[in-house]
Amino acid sequence: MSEAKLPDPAAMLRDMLGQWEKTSNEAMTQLMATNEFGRAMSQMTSMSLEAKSNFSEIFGKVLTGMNLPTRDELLTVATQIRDVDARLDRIETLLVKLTGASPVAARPAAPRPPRTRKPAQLADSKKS
Amino acid sequence: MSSAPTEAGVAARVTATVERAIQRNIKGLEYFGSAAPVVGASERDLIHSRGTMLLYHYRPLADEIFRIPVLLVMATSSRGYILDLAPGQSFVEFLLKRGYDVYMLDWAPPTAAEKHLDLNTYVNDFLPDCIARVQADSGETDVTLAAYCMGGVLSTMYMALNPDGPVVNFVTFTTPINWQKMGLFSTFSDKRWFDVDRLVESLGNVPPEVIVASFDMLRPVSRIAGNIRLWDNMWNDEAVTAFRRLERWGNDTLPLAGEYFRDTTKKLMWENGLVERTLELGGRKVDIGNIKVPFLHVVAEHDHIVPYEASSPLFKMIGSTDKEEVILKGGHVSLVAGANAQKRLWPRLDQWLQERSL
Repeated sequence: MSEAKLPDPAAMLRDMLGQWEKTSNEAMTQLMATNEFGRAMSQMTSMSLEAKSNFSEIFGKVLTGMNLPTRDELLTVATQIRDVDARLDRIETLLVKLTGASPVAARPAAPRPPRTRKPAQLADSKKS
Repeated sequence: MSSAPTEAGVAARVTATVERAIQRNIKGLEYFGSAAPVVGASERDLIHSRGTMLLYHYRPLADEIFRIPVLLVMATSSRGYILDLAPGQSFVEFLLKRGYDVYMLDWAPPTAAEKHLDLNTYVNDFLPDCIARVQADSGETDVTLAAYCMGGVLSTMYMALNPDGPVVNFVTFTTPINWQKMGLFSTFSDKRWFDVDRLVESLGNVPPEVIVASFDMLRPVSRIAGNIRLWDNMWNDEAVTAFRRLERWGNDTLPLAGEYFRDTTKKLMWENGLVERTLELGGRKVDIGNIKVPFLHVVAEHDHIVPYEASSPLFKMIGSTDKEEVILKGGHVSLVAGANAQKRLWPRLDQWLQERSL
């Protein structure tokens, strides 16, 4: 005769959560799959992104008034640094072409393992 | 026949429940005050970068490695550390320990000045550039390409345009090919109401919030349910850390270059160019049938982002005779990361790759 299993309210709640998640997701995705929802969502997304863009523009003017750089200005500086980086990259490529050196920048000389590995089965059969 | 629960049994249950409730409160407070968990387990070197494009080489962990290097190609909207979350939970670490020489093409957020990057740049510039660097760094002419999600789409296009090498093995994970089967993504971006030109013109690059929101809408209540589960598991440090790693990755979504997004919407979503064989890049037709190298196609049975119907045509259309499709339990992310991946995908891939990496 074994002891009866104790009901576990926490486990029951976890099951209920799983069921709720599954049915709610299914119901909502069905709703979202309609043309009406797709159209409405698309309009809302465009509107909210444009509003965000307009807000950034206004905020940028406020920052300029405070003599502080805007995000766009910082990005421009970052872009200029990247352009310099890209130019260096092109120079490096040209040097590689001219000198025939390896296109991969020199790295700390870590020993590379030999490329001689065989699949386990093949290695085992050779041993036997 | 069973007897009524004993007093000791009831007492033990009550004690455990109370202890967990106390731990939840203590650790819940710690949770809000603690830093996000560290991600990225394996030592690596950045060997090449150009704007948004980053090429890493992982330091080998085996004394002897397979001849052919493996280049992992990440999805353009996601960070590569999903494949290298933490020691013992890392696909990259697994490959390194199994003796592969691993590289990864990962992405930095494209800047405003990179909004002009389009599909052609990714396929005909970034990918061949990285493959050439891998060849130079490894000293090998042959390369294995293994790509995840949108990385798989770009790699498929590259492979179709470069069927004569240098890639000798091709692996894709959850790669969408038939974009008309992309479920809600297709509805949201229907050309009858989705004005992609206006979006790109007004924003430049597509911000990550749009991408995160669209992923969330595929399972609208899962974020709420996930937070309730987090509270339930708050007493369990391991579960909380695992949750936070994945949550960090999910929120660490990258913006997409404007022209790339426009191309993806028009050429893939609207025209379904890969399945209809109408896609052209750099003036050349992208025909998946051109791909003839050994091919492994891995798809997840319960993938809500890239449904099976969206990725399955790749296996049928590809020209390879040595090809295999593996359908595994799990979802879009759990296919490559997590316990499910460790048990199912990683050993399966290792088995397939070993004999083709000599």
